[in-house]
Amino acid sequence: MKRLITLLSALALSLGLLTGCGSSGAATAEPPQPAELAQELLDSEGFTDILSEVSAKVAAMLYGVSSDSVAECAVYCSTGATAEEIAVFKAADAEAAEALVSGAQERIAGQALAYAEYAPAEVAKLENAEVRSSGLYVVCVISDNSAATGEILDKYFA
Amino acid sequence: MKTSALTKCLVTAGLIIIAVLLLLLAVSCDRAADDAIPAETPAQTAEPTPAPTPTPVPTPTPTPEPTPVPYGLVGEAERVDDEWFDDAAFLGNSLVEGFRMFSGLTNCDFYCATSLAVTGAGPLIDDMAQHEYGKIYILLGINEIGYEPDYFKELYSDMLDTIAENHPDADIYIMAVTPVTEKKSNSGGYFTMERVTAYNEKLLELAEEKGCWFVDLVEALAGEDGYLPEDVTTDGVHFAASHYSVWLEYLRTHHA
Repeated sequence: MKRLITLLSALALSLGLLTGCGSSGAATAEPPQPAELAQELLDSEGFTDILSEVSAKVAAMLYGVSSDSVAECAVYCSTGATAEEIAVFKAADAEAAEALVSGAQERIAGQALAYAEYAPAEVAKLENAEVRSSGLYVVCVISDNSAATGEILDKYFA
Repeated sequence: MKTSALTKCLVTAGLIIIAVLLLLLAVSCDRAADDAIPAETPAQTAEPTPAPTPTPVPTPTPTPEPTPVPYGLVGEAERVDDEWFDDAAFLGNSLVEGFRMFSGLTNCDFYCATSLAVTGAGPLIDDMAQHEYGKIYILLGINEIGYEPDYFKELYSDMLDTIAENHPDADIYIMAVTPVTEKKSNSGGYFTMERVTAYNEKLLELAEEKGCWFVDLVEALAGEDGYLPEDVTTDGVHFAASHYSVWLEYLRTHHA
């Protein structure tokens, strides 16, 4: 009996260690190209507004970086009726990626100020906005359903 | 006695002879003087040199006065390219923000903010004053739609004066308050086409009074029923990217 308990404990410990290793972040997939990820997010049930793509030049301007900082991007902005937005960037280099993360945080803060009186219901979306990064990829998502969009982001970003 | 008579005769004869001689002398002198003075020759009329035929001076073709474009409602004109907007600035609310994002114009400057109203435009107008522009487009009004139209006109007028003072050489285009959907218009509240129309009447008056142009964006963006189409908007006021292309095209073909 004692031997059985010891064996079961060892087995449980082994299984626990294996599970722990699996959840340490190494299981996330390489993010897809910006256009693909943006489309996957668009296809989710996370948005109530009409989102339309903006040019790379406009996207860089909105996120406070130079156009040279962006190697590739897919950014979809709302009509203005809501604060909803999808921004997927592949930065030119690590420094540009950091700048995009900062830019995304500033964008969210600025939108929160703009919508505070204009459309207060949008502030909650901005509070639940997500900024994720992995290597050169930076994503900013302001959605009406952060659970749905978060599930997609979880596949690619720890 | 005979001697004195003879003498007298002789003297008389002598005097007569002297008188005759003197008379003859006078006559001969006159003739000599006449001979000395050349006869006045009649003026010789030279063969007249024919006056040169004057080269006809061409009647200068008068430079046609440019037909002055009447201030107020700006009519249809020849389509312009993006270069027309090289010296343009756009001032306005979230719809101008949308225009900046979706119109595709990147060669002009934008001074815009979500929820911007005439009363809050001061800082952006100050920023705009740091640069020179040939044309300034303004879209404000939807966020003030609850004001009385005359009061709105008064506020807008003061703002226009400041902008005109900062940019005396710029053409100012007052863009109409944009249309709303029928659903929005009938939903209660201030966002009705009646109020939009009332505001735009005041804006047209201002354009005429202040020497500006009025751009009828209702004509540009509304459907045949006079409302914003339902399929381009989610809230009845703001619209999708495709409608900004319509807006830009209208600006290309409606200018002074």
